[in-house]
Order: sequence, then C-alpha cells, then structure tokens
Amino acid sequence: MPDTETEEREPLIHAAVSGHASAQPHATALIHDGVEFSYATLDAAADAYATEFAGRGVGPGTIVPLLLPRGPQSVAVQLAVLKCGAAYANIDGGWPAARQTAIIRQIAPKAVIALRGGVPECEAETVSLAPEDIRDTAARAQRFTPPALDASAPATVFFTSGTTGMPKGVVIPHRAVTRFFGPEGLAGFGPGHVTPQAAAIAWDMYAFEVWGQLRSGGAVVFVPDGHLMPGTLRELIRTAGVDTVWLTTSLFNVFVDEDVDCFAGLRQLLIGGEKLSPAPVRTFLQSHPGIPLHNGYGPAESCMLTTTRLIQPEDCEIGAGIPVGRPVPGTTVILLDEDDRPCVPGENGEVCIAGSGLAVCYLGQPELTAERFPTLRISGERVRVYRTGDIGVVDDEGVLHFRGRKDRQVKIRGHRIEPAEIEAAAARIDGVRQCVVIPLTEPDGTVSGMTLCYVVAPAGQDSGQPRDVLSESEVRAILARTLPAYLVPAVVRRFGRFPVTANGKVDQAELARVAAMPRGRAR
Amino acid sequence: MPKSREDFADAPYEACETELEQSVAEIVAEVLDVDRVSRADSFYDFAGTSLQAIRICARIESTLGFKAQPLWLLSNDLLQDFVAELLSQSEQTSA
Repeated sequence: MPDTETEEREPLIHAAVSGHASAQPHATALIHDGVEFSYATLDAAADAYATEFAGRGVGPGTIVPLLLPRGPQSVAVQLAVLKCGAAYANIDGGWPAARQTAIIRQIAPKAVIALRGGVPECEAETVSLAPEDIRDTAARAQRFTPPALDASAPATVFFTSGTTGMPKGVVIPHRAVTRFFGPEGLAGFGPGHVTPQAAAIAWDMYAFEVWGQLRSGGAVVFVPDGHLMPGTLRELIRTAGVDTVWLTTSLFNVFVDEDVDCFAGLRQLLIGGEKLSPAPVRTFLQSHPGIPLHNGYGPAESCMLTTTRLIQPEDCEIGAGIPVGRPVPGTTVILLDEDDRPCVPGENGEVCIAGSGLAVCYLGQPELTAERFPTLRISGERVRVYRTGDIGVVDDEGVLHFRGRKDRQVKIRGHRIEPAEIEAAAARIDGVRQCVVIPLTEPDGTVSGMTLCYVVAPAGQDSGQPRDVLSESEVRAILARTLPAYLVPAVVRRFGRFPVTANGKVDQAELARVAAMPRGRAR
Repeated sequence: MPKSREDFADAPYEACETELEQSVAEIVAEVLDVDRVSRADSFYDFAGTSLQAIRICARIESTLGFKAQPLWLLSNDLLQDFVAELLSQSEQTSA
C-alpha cells in the first residue's frame, strides 16, 4: 500500500535538480557532442527559460507541448516548464504533422514551445526558441522562484497507442519519477554514474534515462544520430564513462548476437519492455559474469518500472520465462482474479499496480481513467490501482512472472501497440472496406512487426471512384502520413475477400497463415 | 532454407558491382532470410522491419568495420544507395 510518509518525502523533479546544482554546482549533468554542461549551468538555463515562459501563461495546471530535438536545450526547457509549475508533453518531431496536430489539439494548450520554424498548425500561442548553447542561456539568467507545489502535481504526459485510434495521454506526477530514483531505488544512478540518452523523446524511457540521473546527481550523455548501436556504446563507455544502460529487450538481443563484447566496462545493464528470450540472456551472463543484468517490467501508467529482477543464470532455465521480479519501492503488485478477488500465490490473475508511481489520469478521458484506475476494496482497504491487462502469477517468494495479455496489445521494440489503432487508421482510408492487423512473430516468440490485411471496396461503392486499384504500397504510404513509424505495418496485404470461419467471422488464424507467406505465393 | 528473392521482388536480379556492395548484400540477405539481394532491391520489398535494419547495421559495423546507422538504410532503401551512403559517411568522418 502507498506509504503516505514516503510520498511526502518525495521531491519535485526540478527541486531535486536544483538541490544538486547547489550541492555540486560543477558536477557534470549533461554531455553533448563532447561538451560537458554542469548542474549549475543547467539549473540557471532553466531559470532563464522559466522567467520567460511564466510571462507567457505557463503555470500550475497547464500542459505545454514541446517540439524540440533531444539535447541540453530541450532538457533545460523541460525543467523550466516544471519550475513554472506546469507539465510538459514532448512531441516527436519525427511524427507525421497530422499526429502532432491531433495530439496538440487533445492537450488544448495555452502555449506551445518549439524551435523556430518547427510548429505544426494549431490555435495555441507559440513560444519560438532559437537553437542556443545553454551556457549562453545560463549567462542571462535571473533567479526564478517556483510556485509551491506538492509531488502529486503532473510533471509530464506520455502518449501511448490507444484502441480507439487516438493515442492516450498518460499524465505522470512528479513523485512517480522521483520516488523511483530515490536513495532506496535502483542502483546505478547518482554521482559518478553516466547513462546514455537514446530513447525517443516522447517515450517514457526518455524520462527514465534523463531524470534517472538528473534526479540523483549523475550525468546523461546524448547519443549522436539517435540510434544506440553496439559501436556507439563501446565508444561512450570509453569516452564519456557510461556505466548504466537501459535497453529494450529486442535491442539487447541484437547487441548480444552481433557484438557481445560491446558491453565491457558497464557497471549495470537494465533490459525489458518486452518478454526476454533466455538464449541471449544466457550468452550475456556467460560473457559478462561481473555485470549485474536486471529485468525491468512495467507499463507507463506506473512510472518508471513496476518490478525489477537481478537475473540469475538459473532464471534462464524456467520454462515459462525469466521472472520480472519484485515491486520497486513505493509500489505494490496485486493479482486479481475474474471476480476482482486477490489471487493466492501460484494462481494466474490480472496484474494490478498500486502506489505512488501511478499516473494521475488519461488526459481528457475520465471514463477510461475510471475504468483502468478503479479504487477497489482489497482485504478491507480501499486501494487505487491501475489494471494493466497483463496476466501474471506471483510465486511463493513474492516474485512476479509475466504470462501474457488479456487483450490484443503487443510490444514491438518496447513500444506498446494496439492493433485496433492501426485498424482504425486503415479503416479511414477511402476505399478500404475491411481490415485486420496481425502481429508478425519471430521463431523465438518476439513480435517484430505488424501485417495489415485489407479488402478494397468494389468500384462505385463509396464515392463513385473505382477503388479496386488501391495498392498495398499506396495504403502503406497513406498510413505513414498519419501514424508514427513504429505503428506503420511492415507488411501490407490486399485480399479479394477475407477467409471466414464456419460461423461467418473473419478467420484470423487462416489470415495469419496466408499473411506470413511470401507475397508471390500468397497471391 | 532461405526464402527466394523472386517471391518479394518483381524486377530482374542485378548483380553487385563492387566488393563492398557484395558484402553488404550478403549481410542484408542473411538478416532478411532471403537467398540473394539485387543491388537495385529495396529493403522495404522484403518487408524489412526497423529491428532488422538495426541488426544489419550492427553486423556491418562488427564484420566490415564501417560505421552504419539504421536511419541511413531506412532512408536509402535501395541496396546501391545504402552502400553509397556508407561510403560518403565514412569519407566525411575521416576527412
């Protein structure tokens, strides 16, 4: 159960950073292109921006969309928004403009902060920034006094795939971030520790990489070119002193297969976001017995992770998979059966999460919030939980094991994907009559991409235009204009009509079989 | 057994023109699990995913010693263009 005393002790994110700026002003906070920026510089630059933003209506209770590339300037702007008492929502510059606009409209902000020229069409006021070295920003800073807030105030909003076809905004409070990296939290964060920042800016793991170290007094190095590759990791360990790394499972698998020595020099490695495969984990443990390897599990709705597990060699021999571990500080995992009664150890149930890591709500969706974050009576106590939709089991030692999903949600490279969101986007294409999205599964069980199967409307049926020419590449191109890259199906297949089962429903199994065949043979 | 290239690509096969093209084509074919890749084939013809792009680039780095970013492959999806990008990027770094 959430411990109120612990909760009150949790600092605000920007207060923690300012604390380090006073205690260790010259310590390195950020490293970019070989240049080190101190805590004092970062904090002062944030003060300069905060003074500017506060005058433009950024204050408590507001959410500010940010359209900025990853780097020291965007971190200073995020801190400035927090200092104003507001929450920030990072918008990925790589998303299609239509999605950026839809998300900004959902936020309905007073102000949008963007680099000059990078603002999509919207009604809000735009604060246009020039690219700036934060040492120059810091030089013109005046001290900014943040309004009094408590750590339950919203700090950031992440957008994840939603079944209705619109992304869901998960509103995360300060304490969900700061409680996780506190003194009793994960090892590998704090003075002397360095983490590479490689996750996409709008993703929850961006916050993990950046605020994990900055809340604790450690440093963050920005990965050039975006993608972390084995060669880049090797270089950053040598040149920037990187010692603590987060990798999504599928990326970890590639690194181990292609260049297992690239991890040499790390002091800890965290992996997760998808189910682990035992073979690469075994190879890693054999090659690097001295590097602790942690499995991390948890949805964005309980920030940053819910359970962790220091992986032991014998974990690889468990048939049902490597355990996801025990709850992190300030977090409780409760398994509920179909009648919402707590499960006994060994019994499968829905994974429900309680504690100070929980999101405040889904942005602008009170009904969905009530459904996914109900307050339940458990063993006589009223507890607010997040219903994950994951199926799990807790063993006799209190360790959680992941068993699957209650619904169709899948994970690709750590991104949550609702097939229904892709189907909703495809169904909006003029000429698509019917569509089904099916995961592409690798032999080891990981999902590597999605297949969209569709049937075209016959000529003249909707707008009078002949539509049977709507090609697979056209459909893919249209989707790429509205969906972020990770939601665009890798394979698109047109069907004359869908196979059906005896009772007239689309035969998903047959569709999956045909879709998995090379295109030439399936035709 | 790798799948046949002709199940994915309609254009006739074009043999590689340089040793580097040949080495990269072999890595791409291995990762995509097809028997061969033509220098004019697109990564997307084989339904290549971003994870496969990462694997291809990691293998190029570790076996051929060229720096390779997945983004270079995703935005230069024809094999010959990707190899040209690898060369031009490597010249920029050494310059």
